[in-house]
Amino acid sequence: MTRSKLFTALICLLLPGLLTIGWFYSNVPNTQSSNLPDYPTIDIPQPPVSTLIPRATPPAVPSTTILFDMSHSNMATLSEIDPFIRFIEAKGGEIRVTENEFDLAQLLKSANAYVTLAPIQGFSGADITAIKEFVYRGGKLIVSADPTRNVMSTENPTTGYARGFTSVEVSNILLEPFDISIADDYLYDMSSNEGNFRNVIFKEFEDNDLTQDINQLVIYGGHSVTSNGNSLATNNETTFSSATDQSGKFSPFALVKYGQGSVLAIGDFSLLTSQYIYSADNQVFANNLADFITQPLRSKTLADFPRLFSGKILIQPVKKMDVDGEFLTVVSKLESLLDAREGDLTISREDKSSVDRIILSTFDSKDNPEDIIKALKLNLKPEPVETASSTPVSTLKATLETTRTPLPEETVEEPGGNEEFATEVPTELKVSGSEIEVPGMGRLASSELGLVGLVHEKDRTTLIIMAETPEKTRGFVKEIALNQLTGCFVFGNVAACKVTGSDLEPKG
Amino acid sequence: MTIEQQEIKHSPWSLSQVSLWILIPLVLGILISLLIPRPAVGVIYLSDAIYYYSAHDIIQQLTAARNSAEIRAVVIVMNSPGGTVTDTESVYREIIALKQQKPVVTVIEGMAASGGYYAASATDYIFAKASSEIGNIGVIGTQPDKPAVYEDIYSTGPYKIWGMPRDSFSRELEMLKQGFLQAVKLGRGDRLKLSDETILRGEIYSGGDALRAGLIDALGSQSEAEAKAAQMAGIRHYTVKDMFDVAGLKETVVAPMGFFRKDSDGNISSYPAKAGLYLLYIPGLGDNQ
Repeated sequence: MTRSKLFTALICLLLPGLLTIGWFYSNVPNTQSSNLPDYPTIDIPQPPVSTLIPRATPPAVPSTTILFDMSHSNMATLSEIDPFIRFIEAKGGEIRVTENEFDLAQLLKSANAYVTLAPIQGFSGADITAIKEFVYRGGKLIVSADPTRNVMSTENPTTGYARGFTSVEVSNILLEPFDISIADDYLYDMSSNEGNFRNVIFKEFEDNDLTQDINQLVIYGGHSVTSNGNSLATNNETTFSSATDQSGKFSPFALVKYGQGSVLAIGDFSLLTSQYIYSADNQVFANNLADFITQPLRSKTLADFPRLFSGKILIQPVKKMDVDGEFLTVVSKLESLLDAREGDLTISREDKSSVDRIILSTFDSKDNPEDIIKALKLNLKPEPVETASSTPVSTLKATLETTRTPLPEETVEEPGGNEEFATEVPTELKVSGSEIEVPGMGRLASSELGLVGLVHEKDRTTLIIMAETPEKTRGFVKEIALNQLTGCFVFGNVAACKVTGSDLEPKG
Repeated sequence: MTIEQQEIKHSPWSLSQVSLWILIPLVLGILISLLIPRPAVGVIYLSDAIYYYSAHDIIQQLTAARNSAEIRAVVIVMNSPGGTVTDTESVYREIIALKQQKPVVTVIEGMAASGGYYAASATDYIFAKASSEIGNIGVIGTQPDKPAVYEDIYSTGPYKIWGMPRDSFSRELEMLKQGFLQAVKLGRGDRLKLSDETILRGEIYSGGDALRAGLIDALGSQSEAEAKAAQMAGIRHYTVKDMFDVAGLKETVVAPMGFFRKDSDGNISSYPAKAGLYLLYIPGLGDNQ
């Protein structure tokens, strides 16, 4: 009896609780144990070991000029690529910077290479023409864009942010004549990269001077570049272009030959910067690139006049040219024209050294103009006898090349080819009796003719300036000192100009 | 004596006995049952970037949920673009700790991007709207400045001012990315249908796509999330409580400190005010670069 009462009491005691539990709780909670990310075991790839290149001492006298463009609101500074600049200087390159684009054609005359880094301000038509002709004449053009330096935004108080040109847009306008295109993308690799998806590793290279001794190259955010020329490096299959999110074979480089020069487009600026140049073999590439832009020295043509010489120059009067006061005035004009440093110019009738020289000479008005043209060649051997060079000069004919800008269809280039690019056009000077017909100048009597010739010998360059009489030659020098070869008909390395009858100071 | 009187006299349950053996235990039982906690689903609203102050509040609420017998499950209502790495990781670890004891369900309202998803991935079940923005798995940061020295500031080492070389920064970024990936894989397990490479692309998915990719478990609303949380906790007839109140945070709200940068007009941008590493989605970042 008591037992049943106790049982009843217990039931009564527990029932509300059980009912409550039953009312509110239906099941055992479903909880899960969890692990945390194991950060200490995460393996982070380290930067590839760099191939160090000892720093070389620059030569006392630079051998060439490398023109860096800083006049197109470039999204880069030279201080960022200081190691690359040091490589250039070590190879005899003198760095010059364009701070305005007033006359790029003039600046290019003294340059071996023109480098523009992430330009975002458009090039003028005149600039593009000048650059094109510069490359055609043997110059090197380096254009580098970079997805991290692609555009500069400015805050507009009314419309928010305003965007200007991108460096891809500007670069492509410059590269269009060379059939090179920088894509408005960036390359990335999610599976095989250098610490970040945008740091793409390249391990396959074409055989080229620019890729010598490179086993591994890393770009730290780069555009893909396409052309009909050399691509220099290719990626592995896991690299994607952001433009399509498709994998494929991409290259951040394009090397195209154009005329006697070359154009190199680089889709990444960062691999040359101090921060990334010491990664992998980027430094080797920078060193090779420095070689590429400093060597070989560009063979100057009259289109580069008056920036034909660097270093000492011999002024050599021949035939009827006397060394007198008037002549010294002419020399001073030449000194100014050539932007020669003090002591660079020497005057001598004797040619005992192998320095570059300028021959000031005359020809006979009775000569047939055709003979004058021939004489210009012959002036180097044997006339004038006293100035004959010991080095046989047979190169003039070969250097009679047009300086006009070739049309694309005229320039048939094979990738990596090295075709003779220019056509000889001496026939454009029509000789008739004692007159010579110069395009743009009409018929000129030989007495009105001034001739300028440029001859490259083995280890020297010779410029010949000649007219009918010493007075006319002096006047001719003064004219070209003032106006350079403007108004002259330049065909390759010979220029025909109309000269006045005296050596009076020409009016500018 | 009637028959009725005889039955009463011989019954074992006299009034006093009924009181002693039934009523008193029953009353006691009722009183004791009142001590049984009425289950509740706690709701935590994460509707901000995850930075020091917002993380502090969230962690307070998570701790309160863990310590409360009444709160049997938690629903995190998420609308966050993520935030700082450290604060996100703090929230993540507190969610993991809570999850060991009580089910935690996330419902993504507008967005659970980057660090927001990092935190969400720790929870047991994730709901989202079809139009929610989900994912953006990855790390973002601004490189430290190039090392420099100053005339008036002296330090004892080249990185005393800058913290780390620029290259170390990118390595750390990569390490954090791998950790993020691990967190997502641990949280989602077999439900995840994306490859590592695809996950790490950092894409933002709509709710529908996220469901197909296994980044979430279902499309649903907050009430469905609460029901799911209750079901996982094995409770019914539950109440829903705002954990902000439960944690007593109403009175302890700290003045918010600006996480996002303000422009000169006082407008808040989507950029963090300070440079550093973030698990953060910054919409339109490229437009202004």
